[in-house]
Amino acid sequence: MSELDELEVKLKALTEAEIESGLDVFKSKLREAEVSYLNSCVHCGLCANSCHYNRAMPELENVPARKLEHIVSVFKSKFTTIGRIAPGLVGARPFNREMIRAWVDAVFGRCSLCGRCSINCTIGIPMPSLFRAARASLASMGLVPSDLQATVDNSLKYGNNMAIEKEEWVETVEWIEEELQAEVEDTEARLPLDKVGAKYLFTVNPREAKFFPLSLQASAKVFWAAKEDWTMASDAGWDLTNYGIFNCNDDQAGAIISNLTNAMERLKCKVLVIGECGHGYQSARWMGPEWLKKHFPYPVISFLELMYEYLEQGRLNVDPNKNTQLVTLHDPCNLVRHGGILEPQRRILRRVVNNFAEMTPYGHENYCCGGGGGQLSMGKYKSRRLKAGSVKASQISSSKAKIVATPCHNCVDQLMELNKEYSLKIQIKTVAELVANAIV
Amino acid sequence: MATIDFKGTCIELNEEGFLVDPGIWNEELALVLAKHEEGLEELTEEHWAVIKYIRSYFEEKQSAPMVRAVCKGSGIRLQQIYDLFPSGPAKGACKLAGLPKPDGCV
Amino acid sequence: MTYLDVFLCCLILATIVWAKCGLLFMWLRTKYFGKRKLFAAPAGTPCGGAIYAFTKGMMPWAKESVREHLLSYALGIAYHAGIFTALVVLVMYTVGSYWPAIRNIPAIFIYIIIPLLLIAGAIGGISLFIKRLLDATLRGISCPDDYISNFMATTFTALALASLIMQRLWVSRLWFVSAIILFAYIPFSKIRHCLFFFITRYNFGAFFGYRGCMPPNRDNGCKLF
Repeated sequence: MSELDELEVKLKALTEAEIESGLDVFKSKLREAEVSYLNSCVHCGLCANSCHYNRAMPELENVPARKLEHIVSVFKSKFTTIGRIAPGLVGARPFNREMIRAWVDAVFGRCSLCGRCSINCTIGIPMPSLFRAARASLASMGLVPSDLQATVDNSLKYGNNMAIEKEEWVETVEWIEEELQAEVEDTEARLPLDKVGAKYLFTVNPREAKFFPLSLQASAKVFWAAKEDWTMASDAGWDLTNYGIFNCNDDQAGAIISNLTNAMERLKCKVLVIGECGHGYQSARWMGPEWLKKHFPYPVISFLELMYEYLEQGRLNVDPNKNTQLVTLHDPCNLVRHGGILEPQRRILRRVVNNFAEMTPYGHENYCCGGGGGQLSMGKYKSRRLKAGSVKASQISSSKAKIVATPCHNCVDQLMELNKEYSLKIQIKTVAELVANAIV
Repeated sequence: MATIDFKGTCIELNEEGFLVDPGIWNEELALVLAKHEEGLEELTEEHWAVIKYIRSYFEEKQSAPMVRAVCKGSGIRLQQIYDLFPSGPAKGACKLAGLPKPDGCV
Repeated sequence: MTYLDVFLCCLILATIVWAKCGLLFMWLRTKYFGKRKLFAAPAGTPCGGAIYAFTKGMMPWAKESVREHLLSYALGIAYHAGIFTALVVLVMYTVGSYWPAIRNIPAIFIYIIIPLLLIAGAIGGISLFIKRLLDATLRGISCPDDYISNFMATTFTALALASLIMQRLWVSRLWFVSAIILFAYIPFSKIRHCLFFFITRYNFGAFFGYRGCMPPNRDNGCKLF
């Protein structure tokens, strides 16, 4: 059964009561800020080209205001007086199967929740917050694309999103420890597991463990060179990812983030360090406390902040001549636009490579690579994802860089696909990989 | 949904180029996938060592092996695996071995 | 002033009260949803973000959407400036009948600045109306209210200009009627953004300000050490 059929089958099976409760879930995600956003769009259309989907594929359904309108029209018909009296006048439309199909297509199929439309909106509507409310509603009706949901389910069941067993993880860590010892010629180099009372609890993306362990080795080399007191968890709590931020089922997202908070309590670490990952950072730093409705009694920081601190304090000796090729930087939306971590990564790169160039535009105005918002795990929308990524691909080729550094494994994977699709002939590296390479 | 021609029959691939039915995999099909999906005209002994290890692991456990296990089981070094399969262990090697796409940030 | 003019002035006042009550009602309805309590430790201040959102963040160079559409931005600014000018002139016309002192403003305003602002506003409104009609994307995201709201506000601005220039009683009365219709329509229309723009933009700035994302480019790394 193809994915398209899967949605149709699920839609057909929806009862009126389920649709009604889906709407209740949507409403439950709204506070006064979101309701004012829903009252604010003036259809000026200036957001259109801020979206990489519309820039790459100009069509009405790719315009952020149109995606938003699908949601606003339901809000108007249900929650405003004029929408009930004169729906045609203000574009109010009912929440029925046709509309639900439009919601799925708009918020799962054409949006990476990158938030670029928000900062370009004339009014300043933080659209992802409304798209999230819509995703939450669809999640409650069981309409999350199955491969995205499977990634969430893996985390709930195994404590990591790739269904890696504990012994596989531990064995990989031991292997990387041996590789690191060989690399730095120091038998004392460690990747410590379960060290109770360590200062930093470090977390990684499971794709590092499963398929790309060199970035883990690079991070460990940075810790080794800085002589840091750090550890990772052997049980649940080593995986920083949280696809609950993408399916927008807050209960599931909360259960997944608990893996990290429980590990912090279990191992009595002082600071939770999120490895290079955009959504992982937004999840742990900003959303986690909201999902669990509690303050975290320890700082949650990005590994970038820590690496920059090491460089500032002179704890790392680096030689930028070890990285001679032109390097550019891709800013992950979850880390930069939504996370506020903008400077450390560029300051690090300026110290560890001798040839660095920004993309145009960069920083909080940067384009999404196209792989965010869970797009990478929704196979159904792959061709759109790659076409939308053409904006990033042309940014990269204009930069003339040979290496694209990005502090996010999700972006790394999308950039690898863009590299192949658009024959960019680049290497994609994490920031830690460039730092590790420059260590002398 | 894409299809590729294999000995006169249409083989279904999903949107990301993975076999819809992993059960129909065989070595000749791996060659066709290598050309179609990875742009590899031929597969060397090293390629086969990796692919066969992944396949046998999958047939036993119904999942993709850790790259650690692939290195150990096939005798190929990590960097060499990246060189052999331009799309990486997941979207390259696992795909040619006929596995479904692994979940996660891949 | 004739009884008809007094009647029109009363109607204007009544519809203004109506519009304000309508907006107040919608605002209270929004408040009913409650504030979100935040648990994550802040990295910046909501206030700093909001200040940025209303100042630097609104400059034409701050947003790509404006840099790429400078003409639309200029027309929009002109349009809004024209509408606000028309409102000021309306106060001068109506309240001024009873309190002539407020009409004592420098001649340069009466003869040059105000007419220019009104002309610019009318041109802005008409141009954006035509743009909405011609541009397929804009047409696609528009509902009837978008055209009606623009038409009413543009007519109101243009008639203000006509009243000022022509100095004919019937023109002014026509203008008063357009004002009455406009004010009466506000609670049903997208013109409610005259309130919600400020609420949304504050929340937008506060959201990103709390997270240390706005103002952008500030040094918010390594604040923990």
